[in-house]
Amino acid sequence: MAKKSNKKNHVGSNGVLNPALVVLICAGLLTVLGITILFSASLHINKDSPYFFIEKQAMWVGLTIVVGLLLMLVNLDWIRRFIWVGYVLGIAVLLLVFVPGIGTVINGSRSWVRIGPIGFQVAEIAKVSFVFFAAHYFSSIRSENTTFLRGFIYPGIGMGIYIALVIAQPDLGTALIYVMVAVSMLYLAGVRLIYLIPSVLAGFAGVVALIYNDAERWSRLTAFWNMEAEKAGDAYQGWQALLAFGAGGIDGVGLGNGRQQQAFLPEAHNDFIFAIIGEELGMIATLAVVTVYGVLFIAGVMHIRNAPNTYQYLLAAGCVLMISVQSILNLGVVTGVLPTTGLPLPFISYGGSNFLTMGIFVAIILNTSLAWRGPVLQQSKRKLKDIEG
Amino acid sequence: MASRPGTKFRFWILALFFLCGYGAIGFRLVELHAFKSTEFVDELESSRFRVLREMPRRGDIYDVNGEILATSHIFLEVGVDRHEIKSADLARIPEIAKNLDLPVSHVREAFGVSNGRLPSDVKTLSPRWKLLKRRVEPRSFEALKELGIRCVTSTKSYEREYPQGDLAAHVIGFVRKDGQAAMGVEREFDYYLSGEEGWTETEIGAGRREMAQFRRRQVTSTDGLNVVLTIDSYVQDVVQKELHQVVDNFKPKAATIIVSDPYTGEILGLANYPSFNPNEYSKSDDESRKNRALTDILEPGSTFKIVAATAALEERVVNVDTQIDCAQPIAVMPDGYRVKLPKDDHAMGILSVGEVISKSSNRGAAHLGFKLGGQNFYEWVERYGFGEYSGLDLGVESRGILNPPNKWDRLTLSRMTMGHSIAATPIQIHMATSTLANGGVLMTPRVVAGITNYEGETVVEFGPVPKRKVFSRGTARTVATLLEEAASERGTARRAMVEGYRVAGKTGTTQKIVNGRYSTREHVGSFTGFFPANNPQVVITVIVDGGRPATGGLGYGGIVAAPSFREIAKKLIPHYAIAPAVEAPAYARNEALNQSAGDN
Repeated sequence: MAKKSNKKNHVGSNGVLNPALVVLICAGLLTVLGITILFSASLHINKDSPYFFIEKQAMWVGLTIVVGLLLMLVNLDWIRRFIWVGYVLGIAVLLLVFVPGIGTVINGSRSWVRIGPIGFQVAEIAKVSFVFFAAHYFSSIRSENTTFLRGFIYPGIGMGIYIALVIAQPDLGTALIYVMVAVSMLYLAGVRLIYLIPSVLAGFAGVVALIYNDAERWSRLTAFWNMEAEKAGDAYQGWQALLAFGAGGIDGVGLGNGRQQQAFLPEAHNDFIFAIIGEELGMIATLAVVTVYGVLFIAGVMHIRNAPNTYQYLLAAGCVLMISVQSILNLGVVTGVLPTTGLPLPFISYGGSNFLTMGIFVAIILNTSLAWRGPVLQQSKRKLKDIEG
Repeated sequence: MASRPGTKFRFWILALFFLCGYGAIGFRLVELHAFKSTEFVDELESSRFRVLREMPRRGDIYDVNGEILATSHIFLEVGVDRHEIKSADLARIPEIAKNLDLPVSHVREAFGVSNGRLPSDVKTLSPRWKLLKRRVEPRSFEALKELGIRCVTSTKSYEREYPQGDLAAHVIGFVRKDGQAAMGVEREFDYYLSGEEGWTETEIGAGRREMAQFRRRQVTSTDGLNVVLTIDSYVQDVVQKELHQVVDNFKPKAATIIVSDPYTGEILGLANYPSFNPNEYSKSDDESRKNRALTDILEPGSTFKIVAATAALEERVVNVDTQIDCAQPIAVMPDGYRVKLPKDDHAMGILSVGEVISKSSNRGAAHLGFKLGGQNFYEWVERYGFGEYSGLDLGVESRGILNPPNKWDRLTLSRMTMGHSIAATPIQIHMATSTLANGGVLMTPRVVAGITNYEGETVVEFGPVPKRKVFSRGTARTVATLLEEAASERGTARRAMVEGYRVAGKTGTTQKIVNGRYSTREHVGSFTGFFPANNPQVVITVIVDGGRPATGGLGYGGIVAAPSFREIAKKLIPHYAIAPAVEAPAYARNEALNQSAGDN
């Protein structure tokens, strides 16, 4: 992630804002809002030091900026040589949680690795190598993308290993992101729908069957259908989040005046932070946040369209998808459209691993925009279009 | 883009899919924020908003010497908030148990520990709160509090305590467990005792903890004031012990003893049998909780002859030496009606008015009534306070039964003078005697001397409340002298005599009405009097309902009630340092002069 002061340099020759820069600006705005609302959302947790969460989050933001700036220097084509190393490294990292003494169980899931003072969620970091792998693989098989084995089964297995390891933690929410990104990339890579659609339906049926056999998960799911009746039971958290939006009304109760995070909404600083925005700042702010995510997505899409080759196209697409899928899932859960799964809201929720990963994706998008700037500047747009056919 | 895998079409479908997702969330947000807001705000308000009550401490009740008769005891209800249990707390369970003086297993159970382990998620424990111990002294909780175990909680609570047990139970009354004052001073002076409840309009979080930062309005509670009684614990104790003695000796159905100061109307001791212990009020029945001094009505009997005597003397229709023929069974009333007179216990001849009282002649009393006339006598009875509330602030009180003359029959006057055809409460009889003792002023009886605040400063003082002047001091002295005669070797109340002191008093014995007829076996024996007769300091009334001496015989007032007067009087002499009568005061020695010249 670069600083916003770089903005001027990135305005395209035709005077139109570089879409990659719009992505960065959106991410920056969301980060600033996140830090602001985090102060109010976390104040009650650690009363001895009210800045505890802010300080920690600020440190992660700083780290992310440094990592992002370093990533901008990397040649994305050069890095393709080490794709397989990255792929294996990703699996190794995912396996770390199962190592006793390093893996830490939090809320019933083995998603954390703790080495010394630093703890992080492996499934977040692994997203990066996952996207690189997918982009590299699909771009290397070229025209074979419509075949069954090389176009569907092999990449399916390649990505499936990651997904299986995330499910094994178990972290179903993050696994869902992996699945949705994987399906989207298969779809974008040109897999035949006759393979894709039945597999998706079968996978969906399998998930439903799995949940049905797990009494606790099933009751949580049915609670979602019948939220009002279950508001004191399994749907408690979800219901309290909905109440927070109602309490906020159009313009909110004001920063720091929110009540829901004080006692009624566990994880308010984390997965349910959007509800606190809804309560304290109201509909104006929540619609603005959704709009910013929408703009980020549209800017991402506009940017992808300029990609010079399939690898970079899919790489940038994977990054945008990772951000957007996660934001839609989180917003859907918090507003009660989707059943509860624990997922942070990109850039806003408290949590270092996710913020770092999201920052890396933004940095990759910016990197591609730097890499693509050459041809865009040297050749007229029309010519480029001709080349693309 | 044809060179790339997939098509433009796929790209835009996917983009549209995501944009629809964001759009759907936008619509959902509008619904939640704008259309459901009112409903949600209502629900939140009802779950968050609370008016927390702060109970004030109820004031204490003291006797006249400052001894505590009723107090409020603070104790803590200690419980465990099981959702706050930390795994580190497990190791401290033995310490907690030791502090609370509970078996370790009990605490373990309350914590939800099974097989030495907590459930993996303590938030699943239900119910969330468990009581560890209901009554814990605040001081002994201090040590536990210092351990700083967050899940152990305490709630402050007050409990009414009566340190003296059943002492003055009917006067003090009691407070129910729910805080409602049920009877006696507790109830009648609840206004002063209860204090003012404080309240806080605030919001609570999950776990019902108050969120103090969202407090809206707060009114602190004001503790109740203390009530100081006129009751003297010593006198009360003497009275109750004597009552026990009466119960042991005569096995009555009910009995009442009242001791008061004649000049101020202050009740020094008041006890009824059966009684109860206010600390265990729930174990008592209605009968034992009844304050019979105020609620029982009985025919006063011979003690009522005081009324006829004072009236006749005050009206000067007779003097002490006027001769009355008490041998004749038939009398001719002033209007010429011939009426059969009640019988005396033993035949009497011609008696002076003084002898009519000291020997308690029924026929003599009837003649006094005839001389006064029905309407006149009725007015005298009323002036004495019969038929009206005594005004003692102890709750339910009876007025007794006093019919106006237009409802009387031909016999009523001759019977009322001897204390029949009228029903009075013990306190009415007592106050009538008190009027005689203080020289003719009917006082309002009182049990409360004043109200003090927590610093002991007197806030309200209740002084003597005279009702009316009933008769002159001269008449009072004269009748007192006659009653002194009754309580002498020659009178009916000789068992009330106290050596070295002059006692004035009158016995009374009435047959109880059993199944609609006067019973010859069930009697109400009473004695009411004061001493020293020359300088009255205490008035004592003893009423024994349905008592019979164990040795046989009937429950005459002179037998069942008069001895109690003597026993109580003997114990009050050192307490009040009452001086013995060295000789009769001057006015008594010059009785004749006093009468011929008139009093006042």
